[in-house]
Amino acid sequence: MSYSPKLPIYLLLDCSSSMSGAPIEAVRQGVKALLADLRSDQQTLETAHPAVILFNSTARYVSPITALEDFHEPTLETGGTSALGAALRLLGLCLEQQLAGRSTGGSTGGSTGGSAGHEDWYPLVFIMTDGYPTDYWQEEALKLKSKKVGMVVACAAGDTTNLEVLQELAETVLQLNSLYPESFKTYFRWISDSAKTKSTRLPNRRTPPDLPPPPLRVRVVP
Amino acid sequence: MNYQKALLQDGSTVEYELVDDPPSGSMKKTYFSPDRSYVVQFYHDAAVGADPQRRERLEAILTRYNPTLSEAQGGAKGNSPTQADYYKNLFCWPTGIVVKPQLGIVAPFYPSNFFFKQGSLKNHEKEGSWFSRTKARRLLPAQELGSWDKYLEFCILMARSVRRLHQAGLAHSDLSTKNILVDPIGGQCVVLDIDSLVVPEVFPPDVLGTPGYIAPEVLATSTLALRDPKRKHPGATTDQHALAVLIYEYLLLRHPLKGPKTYAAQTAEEQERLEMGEKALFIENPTDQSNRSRELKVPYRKLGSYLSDLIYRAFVKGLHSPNDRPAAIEWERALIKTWDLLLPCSNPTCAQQWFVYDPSGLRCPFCGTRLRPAWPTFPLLKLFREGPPEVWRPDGEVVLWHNHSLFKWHVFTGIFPGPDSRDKTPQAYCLFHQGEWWLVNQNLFSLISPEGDRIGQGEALLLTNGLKFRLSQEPESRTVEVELIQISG
Repeated sequence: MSYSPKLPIYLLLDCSSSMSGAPIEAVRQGVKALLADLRSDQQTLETAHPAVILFNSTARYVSPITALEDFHEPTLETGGTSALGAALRLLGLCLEQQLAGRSTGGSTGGSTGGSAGHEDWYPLVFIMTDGYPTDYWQEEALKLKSKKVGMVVACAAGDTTNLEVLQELAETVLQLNSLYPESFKTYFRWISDSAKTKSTRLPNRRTPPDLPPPPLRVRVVP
Repeated sequence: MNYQKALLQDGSTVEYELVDDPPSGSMKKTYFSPDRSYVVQFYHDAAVGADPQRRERLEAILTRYNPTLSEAQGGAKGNSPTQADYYKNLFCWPTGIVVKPQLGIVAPFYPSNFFFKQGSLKNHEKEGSWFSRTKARRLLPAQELGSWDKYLEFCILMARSVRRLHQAGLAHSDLSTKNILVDPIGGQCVVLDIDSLVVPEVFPPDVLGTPGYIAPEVLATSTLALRDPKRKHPGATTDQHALAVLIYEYLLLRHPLKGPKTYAAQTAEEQERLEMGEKALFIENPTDQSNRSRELKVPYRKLGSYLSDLIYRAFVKGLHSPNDRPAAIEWERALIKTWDLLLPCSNPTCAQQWFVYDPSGLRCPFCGTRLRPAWPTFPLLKLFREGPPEVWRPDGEVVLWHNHSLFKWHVFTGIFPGPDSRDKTPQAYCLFHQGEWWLVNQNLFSLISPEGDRIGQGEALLLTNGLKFRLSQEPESRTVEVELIQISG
């Protein structure tokens, strides 16, 4: 039986009271943009498995790893403090479980173990926040750096973000307000320990002719 | 001339020309500056001026919500000077708050390309409805109508403007042909009435919207008390409805919900509430054809798969299910992808002049003319991006035509057309020369033929059916496959 490896995508969404108004709207739109990018490519459509951790005064694993087609946008309501540290700790637990699945062939990762090409891809993590955590989070952020993840992207939401916190969280910081169509695609990385898939060889041809000059009027998309 | 002084919040003053009968909208009246470079607008309702929340909203709009100022100038977080300059052209963003003689705003005047240059409407502003309605179009001189590719272009800008607002967590709340001026000759548009921006739970909407663009759920619940929890208010999801209506109207010249079906009601308002609200039905609904218009010369499917999918989501799946509506960023993406599939119509008198490539038939859907260029084929470039290492995934298509160019956003996955791509230099162009199609390298540094030969700048690669090559050897560059589409036969 063939097993298709999953690309787990963890969304850590800040729902604390400081996120109410514009920031939480920005997160809603950000999640929509991310899902649109995931759905626009066959590879991500088949492999991407989003999971959601919401955090305010506590962190909650509200939506476990789900196939993209069965995934529903989470309902976001704001209030309370911003327990980023707790969310990162919860993410750590999820990642460990995932990894245990990878190496032992256990049920969580659905992996078949050591055989090349049959393991899940390393997870991608998107943290959407305004950057005002209220708990002790630095140590958890450091721990995250030592975990085997494909990519951690911190997404700045709203008009009064604290970028320093986001920069400490992840090497890649994205401003949600200046996101382009398909900009999330740039961060979809399929990384594994196993062998790479082979590409097809490209056929050949080339000749230089006597060419007329380039066009004077150039049409360009706005 | 009766020039008056208005005192701004920052202590400076501006002049405006006081007239008896100023242009007037639902919320404000407008006076012009002596040199017509800006306008001064006052709210009709004096109570608005006394409302501290109104002041607070205007302050936020001028500063931390402001994409037309860089972060260094006190604008939106993360906004670069390049982005600020770019968005200045897409929005008529307020530049000052007037505190005396009463609360108002100062906003830039629209550039001259948003005024008619000829015909009976000369010097009138180009309200979108002149261009989106068949009857109104008949009154315009042909030189003012513009070709279809320009409509697609200003729709890209319109989607991008709304996307920029939404991703900052803001909503316009009253998008309509009145509040977005368009220039179908230059392919430009500008979003107006920014002072009423909505932030859910913080700054509520002022109005329901403009008839024809109000989301069905807002209209259907508009008779409920303002504080009734069942009542739906304008916000990002209703902007998404209005944006979809506008794009559909501009590209197909008809309203997506205005069909033959009517509902008997006591009043015209009640009838409108049913037809555009509770009972709203897409004129091209595939299963319920009871509102199907008789004038569907060009069905929406002719706009290609990217736009068709979104139109289906907006008017079939999402019409009464706001969360299923496509986000502005999805419209922007689909419109850009569609732009890459434009073919020129072979009929020189065709009003539209361009149409979207449709694999099922090479015929202009607007005038019905078959594609008959001077060449027997044209190249379709299929783009691929690297997914998992060395696995190439389809990533869009580009129709190439004689003298069409490829740009950096075609070559690299991390570059996007829009505010940040200052580099609009063509990287290569396509040429039909001596009976064959060539890709001429202009600015690609590492274009290598499949044989392994370097193709320098000014040199060309012969495009044959099935040819695969990488556009650059640099990271995040795309691979392409050529398909020569047969035109005749």
